[in-house]
Amino acid sequence: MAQTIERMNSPEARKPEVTARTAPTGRTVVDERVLTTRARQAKKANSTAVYESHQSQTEVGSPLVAPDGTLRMVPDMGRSVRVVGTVVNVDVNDGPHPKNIRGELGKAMNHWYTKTIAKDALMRATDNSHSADKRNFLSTYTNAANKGSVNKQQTEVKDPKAMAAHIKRVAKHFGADLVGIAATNPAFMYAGGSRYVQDGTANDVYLKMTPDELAKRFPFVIQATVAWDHDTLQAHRHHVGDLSYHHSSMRAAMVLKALEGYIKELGYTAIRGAVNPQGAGLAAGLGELGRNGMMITERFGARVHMPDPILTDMPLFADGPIDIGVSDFCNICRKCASNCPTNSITFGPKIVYNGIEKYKINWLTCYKIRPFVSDHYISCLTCIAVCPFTKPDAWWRRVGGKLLKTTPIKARPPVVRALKWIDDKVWGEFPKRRVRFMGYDTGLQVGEHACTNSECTAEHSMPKKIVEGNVGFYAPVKKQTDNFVKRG
Amino acid sequence: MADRSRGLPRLRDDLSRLRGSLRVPWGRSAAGDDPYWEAFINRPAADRRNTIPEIVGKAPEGNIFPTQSELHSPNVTSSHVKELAAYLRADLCGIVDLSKQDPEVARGYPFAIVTAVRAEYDPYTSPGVGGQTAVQTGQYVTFILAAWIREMGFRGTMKIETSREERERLAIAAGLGKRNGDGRFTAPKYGTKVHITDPIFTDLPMEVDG
Repeated sequence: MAQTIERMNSPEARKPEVTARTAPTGRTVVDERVLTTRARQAKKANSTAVYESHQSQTEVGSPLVAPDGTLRMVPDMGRSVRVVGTVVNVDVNDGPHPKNIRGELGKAMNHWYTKTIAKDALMRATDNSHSADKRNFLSTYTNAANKGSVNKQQTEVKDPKAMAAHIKRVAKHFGADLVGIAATNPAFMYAGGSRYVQDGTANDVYLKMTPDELAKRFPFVIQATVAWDHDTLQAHRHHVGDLSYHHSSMRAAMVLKALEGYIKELGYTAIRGAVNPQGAGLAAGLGELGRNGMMITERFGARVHMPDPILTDMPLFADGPIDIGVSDFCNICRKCASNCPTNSITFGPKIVYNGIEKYKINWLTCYKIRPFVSDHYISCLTCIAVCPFTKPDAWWRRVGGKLLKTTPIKARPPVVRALKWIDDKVWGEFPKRRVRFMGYDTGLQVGEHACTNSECTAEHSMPKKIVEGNVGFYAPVKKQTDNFVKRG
Repeated sequence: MADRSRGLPRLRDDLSRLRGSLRVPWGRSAAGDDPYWEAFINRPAADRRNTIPEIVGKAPEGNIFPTQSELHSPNVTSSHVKELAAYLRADLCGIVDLSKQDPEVARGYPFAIVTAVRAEYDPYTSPGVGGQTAVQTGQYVTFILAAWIREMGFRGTMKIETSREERERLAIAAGLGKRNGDGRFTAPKYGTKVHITDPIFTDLPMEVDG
């Protein structure tokens, strides 16, 4: 059953059914009353750690309660994403990969995804869908359903704040670069009965719960991630860029798997595969959603992968969303849109999709480039690499970020224009950097195979080549993608 | 003249011991204000299936790719192996010529890749989930390195059981460090706070370290 989450001041919430709570002016007073009550109770509790349902109204007819009696809560995901209407929970099987596996995106796509293996050895060892033997891919094991049991000797949590700080410290000890905790909300859960576990072996009593039931059972969601290496990411649309992405996703999967196991060791339940990673990341304050559809973080920009978060019943203290100015920047910048090889990123404003106001990318055109370019790279990553937020975590980057963050919202546009101008001048409107890593060299043209290592004395079947200059050559994207993308 | 290369790690060990004994009782402990940290480091897991060393340690290895990749000369291949190990966050990496080792250690392989990671807590004395983090980090490095070698069409395994003593001997042969006065393995940059991971036994042609 589709779950509905409605914004309290949305038109639906002002329907005359709630006349008992409607002021003579036509505005609903219940919203303010509920908000005031919840704010007061949260202040009294000195936290946002209390599950919101305990604070919301329980009478049928309230905008916070669905006609069938289930609770509706409006998640706060910051300025970049707003819930403005009815949200239908997404079935995890409606994502690009499951659709492709079922053959719904065409034979060519299905063949590429399910029946081809990468020509490059490093890609075979680090990419799940194009490995020759999945046992050579680490996440085959770290993404599998956890087989461990919950410790019967539960560790008592006297102070949820201290436990939240401990969990974050543990995640960082395991190797996470970013970690946040959000109060669970049914809005960012997958539709009931669908669980994203790659080996398909998740078989627990929670599998058939609806998002509302899961949110009541598990009040907190923990999201942690590992940043991509900036230097190798500069070889976007190249196997080296792929490695940057795959390395971070494999490592993040391992960190979360370890954290999931540790929570069970503390005597609490932890399940995965039930929560939309981006929704959880936004609510946990890891970053904001950019025009490129990626999470943009304060320290690492867009070079983070949002892995599958942990849903838990451990008493914790939730973080809130953050405002680092992504919404204001993306409103003006459009650098990712102008560099996108498939025109999948909009130049226009945010739109409302599935009740959520956000920048919506065309995932289908973004996805469909892959079989055409699979000899050269697997994931494009251009929108991430060119994003002005994606820079090394250096002092000058932090100064720029701080400047934007501390500027009042109305005064941000001129600051954004100045920062964008600097970015274009220093890094280029289309950044091209030559990256040499493990014998790969982006100085070579696409399709060209040669050894550029001067120390190598091996007799290669391909000719040795000396590449002049320090500017990377990148795939002529327009030629590649004109095959299947119509340009306006 | 005294052996200077041994002096610095020993000094670092002594300083670390001194720092521990001089810690003021009212100061912040190493675990900060975290009341759960001690158990995280030292309490063994009730169900080992909840830990990464168990999950990855028991994972079967994949097949060797039937077609061998075209290689660079051994010196360049060695540098690529080390580059990848460092990228995967190994702190030390060296290559050993197993033909100079005891045949029981070599197990029919010509080379071993030995990597080490920094270990804030010694996995041998800290049995908790947190105490085993260095093992987990090391497994991440060695699993991917070995898988990459197999995908290049060469033999590469981290599944050969080696004792701590054997691993330390291989690490010393790879030039990663030496034994200090207490007989413990020390690396020049990290002192005794390193964990030597399971070595990768391989036939990938490489230039060895000394």
